[in-house]
Amino acid sequence: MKTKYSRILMSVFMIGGLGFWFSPSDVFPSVRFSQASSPLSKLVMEAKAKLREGVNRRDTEACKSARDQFLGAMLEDKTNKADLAYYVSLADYRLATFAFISGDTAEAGRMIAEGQQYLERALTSFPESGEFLALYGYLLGLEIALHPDRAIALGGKSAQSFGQAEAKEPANPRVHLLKGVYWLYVPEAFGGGPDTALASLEKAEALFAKETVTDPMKPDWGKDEAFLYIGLVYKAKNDPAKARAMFEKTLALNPDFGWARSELASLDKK
Amino acid sequence: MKPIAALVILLALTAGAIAAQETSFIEGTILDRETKEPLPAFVLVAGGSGISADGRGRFKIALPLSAGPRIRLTVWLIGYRIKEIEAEAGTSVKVELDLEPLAVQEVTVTADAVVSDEKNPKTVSLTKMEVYTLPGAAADPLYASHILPGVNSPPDASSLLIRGGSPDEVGFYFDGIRIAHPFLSESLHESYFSVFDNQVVDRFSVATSGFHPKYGDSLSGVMDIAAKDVPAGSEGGLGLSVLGLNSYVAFPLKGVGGFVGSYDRGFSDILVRLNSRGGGREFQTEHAFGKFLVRLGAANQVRIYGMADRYRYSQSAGTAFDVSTENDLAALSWTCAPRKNFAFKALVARTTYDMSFDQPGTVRVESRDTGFQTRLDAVLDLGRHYLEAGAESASRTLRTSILDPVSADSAFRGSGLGFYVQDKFRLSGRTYIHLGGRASSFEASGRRWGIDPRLSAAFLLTKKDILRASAGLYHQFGDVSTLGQNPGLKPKASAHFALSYDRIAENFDIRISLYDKEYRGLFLAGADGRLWNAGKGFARGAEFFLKRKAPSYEAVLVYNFLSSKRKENDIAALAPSPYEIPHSATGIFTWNVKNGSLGIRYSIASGRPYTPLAGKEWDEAAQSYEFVWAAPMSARYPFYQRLDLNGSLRVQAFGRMLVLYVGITNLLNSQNILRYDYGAEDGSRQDQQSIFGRSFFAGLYVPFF
Repeated sequence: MKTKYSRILMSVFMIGGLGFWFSPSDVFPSVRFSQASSPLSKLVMEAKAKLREGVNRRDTEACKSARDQFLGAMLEDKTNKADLAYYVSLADYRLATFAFISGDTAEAGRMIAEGQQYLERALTSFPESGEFLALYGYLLGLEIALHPDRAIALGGKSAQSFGQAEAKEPANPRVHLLKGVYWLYVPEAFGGGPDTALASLEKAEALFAKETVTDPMKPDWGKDEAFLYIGLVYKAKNDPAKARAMFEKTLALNPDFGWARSELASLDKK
Repeated sequence: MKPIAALVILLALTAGAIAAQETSFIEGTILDRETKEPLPAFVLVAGGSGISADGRGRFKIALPLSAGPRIRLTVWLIGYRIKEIEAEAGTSVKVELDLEPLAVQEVTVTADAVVSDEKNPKTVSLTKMEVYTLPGAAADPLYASHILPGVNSPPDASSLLIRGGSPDEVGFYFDGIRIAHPFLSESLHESYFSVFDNQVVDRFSVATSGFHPKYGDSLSGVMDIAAKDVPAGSEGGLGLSVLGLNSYVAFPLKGVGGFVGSYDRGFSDILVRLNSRGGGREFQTEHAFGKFLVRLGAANQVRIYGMADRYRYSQSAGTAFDVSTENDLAALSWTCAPRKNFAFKALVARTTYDMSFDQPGTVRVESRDTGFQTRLDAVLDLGRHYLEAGAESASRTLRTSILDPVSADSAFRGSGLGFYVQDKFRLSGRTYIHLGGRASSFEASGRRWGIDPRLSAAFLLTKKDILRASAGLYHQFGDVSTLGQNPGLKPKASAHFALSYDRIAENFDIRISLYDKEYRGLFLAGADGRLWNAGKGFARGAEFFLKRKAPSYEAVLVYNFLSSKRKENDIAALAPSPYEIPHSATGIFTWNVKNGSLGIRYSIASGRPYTPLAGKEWDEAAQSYEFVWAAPMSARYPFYQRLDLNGSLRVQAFGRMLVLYVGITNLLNSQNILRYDYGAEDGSRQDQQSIFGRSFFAGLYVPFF
């Protein structure tokens, strides 16, 4: 009598263990972005182009200007600000990265914190958006560089966000791109590194090949970056031929991408 | 001048004038109204463009001609209220922004709830990871909670002494299920190790005053533990240490929900040999936990729980005895969210606790405590108001069989009901109120009621400074055997008044608290030995908590002051409370080294009061000594102290991350006295020392991501 419960529980635990091999659910709706209608859509499209330019030229001012334009659009938009908040946080992600490169950790921290807040707002309206969750997970991961003492907690939350993102939008290439980039910079001791990243990046690349974005208001960035990061993985794995092929593919899609050009040039020097 | 040339000049002058007007501007500074800190807010000119202020909150915008002499600006930063102002072109403005009102449920109002929820940083916190890394905590949430302000427990036993209250005045909840026996080893004086496995704990809170009316039958405090829910991806871990092995697994199940579970086995053999400690004492533990989540559509979730704990302790040295306990839980909950702002949860749970004590040739006792509980909790979010209400029922049956030296059976039954309601609302911009109450009844030897109004308020002085206050009434009925043997006994009552100030900065937290608890209706023994509600008492104190976080280290300092007197049980006049520890302090320092951490913790506490033996007189008729006791609670046990060390290291091996950890408990080998027992025959004093002598332990944990 006394041991009956424990036996049942042990059995439950053992049976439960078999379920370990199942994968997460993949049935979730995607985000509805604001309908393209001028002048708002014109403003957003201009801002998207400016952000892309800023990334191409690693131009902080262009990215800031794009961010301001997204913010302006948010304030002008009388219908739904949540999806535009995503674009503000996308600009924050770029600006935080540039700030890290220039050694301005205070500015990087501010951009990361604000980007997270904008995404939290976006996720309030669209909790099922895998793309928003993935960017949120990435920003949590970036925060580790500022607070290495919180690496375990932030890493756990980041991995959880990526897990949820993948479950909600398994066919969104930017989810896998962001996940791949995140794992590329996670030390191998914690399960990251080039090999872990490659699996996600290759998945992203395959999904980008199938993706067609017709609504100009929707996010369409990342296809060129998927090739760039795969190239960086091969570079890290000391495979310059494959890296070169990837950088060339990046430039075929986006000839103005300065980072890809410099990577290719560095291979040429060797 | 030819007409054409004049026109050209005129056009040129006009264009210059236009150009001059287009270079008109507006500039200014944006500040936080409360803190006067500069804000990098966004400024949008009506009908024009926008710009973000710089890090010093300054901005300058060129204005188009169409803007006119007066322009309208919209200023906004996420987290702040949008502000619209009118200003003169060419001038400088100062704009002050107010914090955006937080949703009511985002503010913790409870005066002293110590919550370890990372989503709610506006209070003193203890994270799950800190439970693992805290020296001397044995990865046990109960031990870890000893460092929280308001917990006056000596550093050894698990039992929680909250703000001068008795250990049995604390309610324990696990995912909303009341746990009557939260300890693996439970005794009248000290209890050791909890039944809660930190591997499956998501977060926990220890409320020391002003707690939520959903918690009933708790006079001093509440520990509420939330079990981990199903993660988005699979995770798990396997550990091996000198204390045994532990395992954990959690995974989603496609289209169904998911599973969270753990299984641990513990034994003393290696620990005893490693620390060269014979003593003829050994223990064995076994723990299993499983939680299935089943999703039924988007709005319904069903959770099935099972938990089983086994503990066996054998002592062959000195007074030989065996104790074994079996602690089981089975529960089912249904969560339903039919609307975005409305949800409810129904819960049914059954708990059993079997205990067997055998001191060969002297006494053998077996007991079973069976509990059955149901709960219904509902929330309704109305934006400015967040309403919570619920009802619960609980029944307990306690059967005890004395098998040796005489044979006797007893059984006590009781059942209770509880209802609560609470409204959280924002009174003004920065003042938040929790107003609610609870009605509880218990039927053991007659139905008794307790009505508990509760009020808490939080005032946000700034974004980082919060003032909290609470006042409330609390009732506790007592255990079924006490109520069964003392018909007419009403519930014990206490009134709590608490005030606290928190400064929560990113890496620097401070809390200062003051409190007063007044007890009425405590159980006091009459001349005939029966208990009456004639007792009373108080507990008053202050607490200080400081936590500093830096990339390379973390430091925590806690100090508690307590003054408490009680007239209770067989003490007929107000005397120092047996739970009064006037001063207790803990300091913790953790270094974050490369791929690991090193921690040191020092705890010190005043001794508790006790009633000493003043003398003994030989009673010729009874042929035994008659003890003469000094004034009640007129002496104190020696002070307690303990120094603990631990360290962990993450290494990469066999393609996996491994976590190695080592620790030394009670490095100074302090002989902490928990109590004195006096021999029944001659009154000789026996020192009952803590079981935690100097001990070394080590282990390995392999997480699976």
